[in-house]
Amino acid sequence: MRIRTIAHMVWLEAIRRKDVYVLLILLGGLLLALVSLNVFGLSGLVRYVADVGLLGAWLFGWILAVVLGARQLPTEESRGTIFALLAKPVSRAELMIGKWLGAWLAASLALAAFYVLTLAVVWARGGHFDPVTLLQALLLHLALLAVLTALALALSTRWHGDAACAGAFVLSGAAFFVVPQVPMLLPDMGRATGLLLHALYYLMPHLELFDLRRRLVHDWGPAPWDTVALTLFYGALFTAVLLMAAWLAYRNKRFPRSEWQ
Amino acid sequence: MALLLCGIAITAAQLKERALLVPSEQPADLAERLLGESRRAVGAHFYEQADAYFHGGVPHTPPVAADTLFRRWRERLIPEAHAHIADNRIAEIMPWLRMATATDPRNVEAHLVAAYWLDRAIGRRDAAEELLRSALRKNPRDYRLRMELGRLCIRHGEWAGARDHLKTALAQWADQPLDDPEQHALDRAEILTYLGYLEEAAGRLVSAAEAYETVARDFPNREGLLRRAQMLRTGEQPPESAEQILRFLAAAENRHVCDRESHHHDADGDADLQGQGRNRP
Repeated sequence: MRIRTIAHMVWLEAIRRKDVYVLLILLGGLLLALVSLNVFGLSGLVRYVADVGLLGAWLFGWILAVVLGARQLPTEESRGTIFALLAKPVSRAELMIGKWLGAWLAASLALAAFYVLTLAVVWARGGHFDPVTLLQALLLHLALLAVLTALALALSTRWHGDAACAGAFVLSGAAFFVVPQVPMLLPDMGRATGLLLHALYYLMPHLELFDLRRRLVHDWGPAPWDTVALTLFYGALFTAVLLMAAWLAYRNKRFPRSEWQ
Repeated sequence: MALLLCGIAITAAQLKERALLVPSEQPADLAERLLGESRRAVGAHFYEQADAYFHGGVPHTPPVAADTLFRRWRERLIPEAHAHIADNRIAEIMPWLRMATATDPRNVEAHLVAAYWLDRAIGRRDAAEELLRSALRKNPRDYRLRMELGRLCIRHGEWAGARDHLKTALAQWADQPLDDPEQHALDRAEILTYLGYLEEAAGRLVSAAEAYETVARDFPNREGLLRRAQMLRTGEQPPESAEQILRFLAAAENRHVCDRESHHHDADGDADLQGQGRNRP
């Protein structure tokens, strides 16, 4: 109940700040520009609109998840409202989970809006998505947002909001773009560097696993459900580990009252 | 908010109108102003996207040394085996080629590939020719554009026009070495071979024989061309006339070996986007 209340407050704050609307308008502008493109006078081309639309949904969903996750605790601390919050019968673990849940749900709702907008444009242009693949892509995408919000929240327990945001972008960007390339680098590395890279490869989250856009855009049909379920479990596990780390870092944190007087 | 939305809608409508009316260099100038030199990288990315679409959504990836758990896991979600899309879906690559050519007008390869498919699979010869001519305005010394215009004319049976373009391409060839010297030499051989058939069809047999002999000197394994040159010099009639060969070349499907050795193939297609327009005939 207390977790739900905290999550609800985060949700209301997200709606009040209007970040979602701005990103939605940006995505709308991007899609409008795409459908306005004159492709040698050819008509009925829709796959590239779906592709770039989903890329926009990914990019904006990513930004929103990190920003929402990273600013929860530092904002409470800088405003001094953390004292009022902790004075209530709320444990720090509940605070942590409530903040994460609120940020994740707000980002997920925004993501759903991005998907709906992209789907509407694709359908209006005569295209379609396979519904099962779409469901799988959306589920995995939501799992990714869970990991990202948990990562940003964990970093924000010890860092300033902006630093946590930047750190989360760098870490998640590296996990998505660099970590999958590690096996290609290994043959050129020395033994010690190779071992270090190997360890990083298995310890860092493999965010590329959550990306089913190509399967969706190019109509490859649904992925095997057992692999999708395993990936969802992997996402849940990483989220739990990050939330645990966040709680460990936050449970004994002290807030000197003099800073706000 | 409503005012902002109206503003965006009006601007988009204006842009769409301009995109339909203005010549194709206009977006390139805009891209140049916006992106500077980085437009080459952006254009190359769009071109790679076109290549990925041509391979059913699978991009070029370097071979991986180690087979890891996560790689196998990813492979289950996003397979890397690719097939080549059917001709009736080839239009799907065009938006990326349009963006590649608009972003980087110096990317001649993207222009050649776009023009090839526009003419060959989509049946838009007018758009193909316009695209090549627009690329020629930005890259007037690039022999490959004249060569492709020559091929375009041959495909449509316009032999006089083809001869003019190929002659210009041959004159420009020596001034513009490519990064790939083998391809450079192959291009010259192709221009000369086409020119030989065109000259032969026009009754200029000595000129045709000279073209065949030049190719045979550079590529001694092309003995057929040397035999043909000898026949022309001795007044013998070759078994197939130049007109027949030109018609055959115009109608022939251009098949290539896929250069993605690192991938498994789903279908038995053998064309590759990055090979289109090259190594022919």
